[in-house]
Formats: sequence, structure tokens, C-alpha cells
Amino acid sequence: MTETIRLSDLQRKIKQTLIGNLSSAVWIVAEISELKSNYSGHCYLTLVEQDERSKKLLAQARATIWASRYKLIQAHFYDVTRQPLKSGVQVLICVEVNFHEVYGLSLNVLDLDPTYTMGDIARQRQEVINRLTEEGVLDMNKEFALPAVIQNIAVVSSETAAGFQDFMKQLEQNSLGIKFNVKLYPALVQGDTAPMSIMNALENIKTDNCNYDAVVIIRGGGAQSDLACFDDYELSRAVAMYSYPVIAGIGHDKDVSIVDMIANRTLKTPTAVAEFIVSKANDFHAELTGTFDNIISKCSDFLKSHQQGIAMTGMNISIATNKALNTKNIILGKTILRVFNSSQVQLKNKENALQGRSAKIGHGSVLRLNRLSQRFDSTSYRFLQQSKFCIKEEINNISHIEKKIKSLDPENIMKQGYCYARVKDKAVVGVDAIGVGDMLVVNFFDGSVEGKVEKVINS
Amino acid sequence: MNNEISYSEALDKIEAILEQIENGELDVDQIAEQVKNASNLFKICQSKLKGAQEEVEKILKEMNQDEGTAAKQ
Repeated sequence: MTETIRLSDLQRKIKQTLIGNLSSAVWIVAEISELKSNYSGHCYLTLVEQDERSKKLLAQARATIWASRYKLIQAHFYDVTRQPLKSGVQVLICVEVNFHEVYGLSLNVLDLDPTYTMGDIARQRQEVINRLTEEGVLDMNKEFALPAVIQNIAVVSSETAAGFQDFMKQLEQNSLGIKFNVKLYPALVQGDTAPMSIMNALENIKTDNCNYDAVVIIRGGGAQSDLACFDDYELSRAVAMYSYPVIAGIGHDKDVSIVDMIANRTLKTPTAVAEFIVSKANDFHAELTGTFDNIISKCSDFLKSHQQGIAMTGMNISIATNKALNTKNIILGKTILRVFNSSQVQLKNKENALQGRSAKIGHGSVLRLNRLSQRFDSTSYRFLQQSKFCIKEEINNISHIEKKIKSLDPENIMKQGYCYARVKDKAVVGVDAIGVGDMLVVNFFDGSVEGKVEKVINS
Repeated sequence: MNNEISYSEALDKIEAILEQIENGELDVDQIAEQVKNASNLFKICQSKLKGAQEEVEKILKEMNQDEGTAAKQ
């Protein structure tokens, strides 16, 4: 019959074999795939190893960090890596193998070397940088020239973050009282969801299309915390290719994140960002004031030098003019005197002569002209009336002549019963001119008769 | 026609013709001829008188108008 043993015997044998062969602690490299800590402070991990290419699970084991060690390990890890111990992190840990008859195999974590993780983070980070460099976007945001005055500002930050409050306070308390237009686009600025949240905020700024001078990403003010989100590939790429210059004030002083590297300008704290913005505005103001003062002083110098020149010229003109005037005045004075004297004599003569004449002419001539004019008018009127009358008379006169002419017209006479005779085409007045046998033509007003003369009788 | 002849010349000629006729210096044919002449001359005189009359009337009218407008002014 086959020998049988109990389960507990088997488990005890496994335990003895394991402990016997793996009695001392070993350093292993693994990825934390799951991390839980309970109320008592103990930390339970699931460690995995994956195939780098296929991501196929090659090994998996449970591990425990007892509370007393977990506190120390965690603090040290953070000090070195600036991030908490969490799932997804590659770790180098020192473990001892435990086997419990009831709970099975488990690894007891004795120590953790954070420098290994650091190296891993650095490697990943370098990969992101290399990728961005290859894509040619690493320095893209730096190519924006920041305006002389950054006045319209979009801020990406957590509304409640102390960093944002510090930033606003610093801006508002500027000594020159410059007004900055700030709009906050709220976003989560730490944790795993931060990259997506920040990218959403950047997208909202673009949609608003407010023509900002710059976009400021700020964080900090509180305790130092996870920076890993600012090494995120997607976020870094979005910042690099962003359509506004980005100023980063992420709030740390040891490390530089990829976003810091890529941003147009990086400052250590939100306050420093505000100081930078204010000092740029102050510089511009000072430059303006300087230019203005310069213009004033140049103008003033120019005016002064010209004023002196003008004054000198004015004086010279005045002197020369006075001199010239004096000479002319003397000549003029003499001439005037001569003119005056001779004209007075002439005037007197003329006046005397005129007085005699004008007495005669003056008054009389006006009256006479009036009279002449009146007389001319009435004369011409009278003349015309007379002419009219004369013409009428004449018309009467000649109508009398007309009658006479008519009365003398032989035709009119013949109409009254008279007629006259012709012989040989010649009018005859008496019978003496007519002989027997002559052809006699007797003319009436309306025609004539012709006949031979047979007898001539003298009365 | 005889536009060049003056009024008084025309009238003189008419008087001369009348005188010749009245004095019996002309025979019937000549009388008829001269009467025609006198009649033509008479028409000239008449038209000249008519023209002068119209001219005078016109001037008188203008004078009256001028006085009227002068009075208005």
C-alpha cells in the first residue's frame, strides 16, 4: 500500500525545504501591480514580472510590508523619487521567502532601494523627451515671442490651490496699479488624472478664443507632491504644440519636469510667475517713461537752442532795422517838410482861385442842370406832340391833293360821259387837226370806236 | 421804288404836275401819264407820313412808359 501523509505534513515539508534552501534574504526586481495598505498600517502588494514586448505575465507573487517598515520605506522612497510608492512602479526590493501552512507563499519585504526606481523613471522620462525631439516639437512653444506686456492671462490651476491665491495676490498688488485681466480655467494639477484635466482646460482656452497674451500653468504652495503628471507624454506634447505661449509655475525646486522644459518660460513658484509678469509690465512702463522723458528733454534742448538763435537773430534784426529806419526817417522828415511847405503854398493858391469860381459855379450849376433836364424833357415831348399834329395835318393836306389827282385823271373824267379822239395815234384837241378821210379813234373809259371822217364842221 | 426821294421833293413834283395839268400844258395822253406819276409819288408821301406817325407814336409811348417806371421807382 502506498504511504500517505497529511496535508499539514506536506505543507510543513514544503516550508522546511523552502526555508532550508532560501533561508537568507534576496534582492529582486519587480513591478508593483497592486498596492493596498490597511488600517493597521501594513502594506500588501502584488508583484509581477511581464515580458517587455508581449506584456505577457511571466511571474506573480504576493508580498507584505509590515507597518513598522512600511513607514520608513515609504518616506525614503518619496524623498528620493518625489513620488509615492504606487502601482505601476518598478522596484528593487529585498525580500525573504515565507511559507505558511494555511496562507501559502508570501514574500516579506525587508528593504527597498529607491535609486533603482529613480533610474527607471529617468529612463521613461528620457524616452518621452526623445520622442518629442524626434517629432520636432520640443522647442515649439519656446518659439513664441512673449509680448512686452502680458496683460490678458489664462490661468490653468486648481481654484482652491494656495498657489493660485499667491499668484493673484502678487499680480493685484503691483506698485504701478497695472490692471491684469485674468481668467481661471480650473484643472486638477496632481495625481494620475491631472494630465487629462489640464489638457481639457487648455482645450477650453482655445475654444474661448479670447486672444490671451499667455497661458499660465500653476500649482504648488502646499506640500511637495507628485510631479510625474508633468512628465506625461500627451500633456507635454499638448503644451509644446499649444497655440499660446505657456508659462509654467509648477512649484518645486529640485527637479525639472518635461512640461517645465517645454514651456515658453518656467519659474519655480506661482508667485515667481506673477513677479515675472509684473516686472515685464514695469519694465515696459519704465521704458515708455524713459522714452517719453527723452522726447521731452530732446524737444526742450531743441527749443532752447533755437530760442537762443531766434533771440539773437531778433536782436540783430531789431538793431539793423532801427539803424535803417533812423536813416530813412531823417531823409523822410526832410522830404515831408519840403512837400508840406510847397503843397501848402500850392493849396492856398488853388483854394483862393477855387473859392472865386466855385461861388459862381457851384450852386448855380446844379439848379441849371436840373432846369435843363426838365426843359429838355418837356421840349422833346412838346416837339413830338407837335410832330404828331403836323403829320396829321400833312395827311389831311395830301388827301386833298389825292382828291385833286383823282379829279384830274382822264379816266375818271371819261367815266362821267366824256371821251376824246385820236388821229394817227395822236390826241386831237380841235377839229382843225382833222381832215376828211382821216381815221378817227374815239376813246371811252371802257374802250374805243373807230371811223372814217366824212365831214368836218367848224362851229 | 423811289425810296431815295424825300418827302418834300415828292410833294414838289406832285405840285408841279398839278400846275402843268391845271395850266392846260398837257394833252390827254400826257395827263394820263403824269396823273399816274403823281399817284405813285402820292403813295410814297403817304407811306413816309405813315412811317413818321408810327415812329412818333412809338417814342411818345416809350416816354410815357419811362416816366411811369421812374415814378414807380
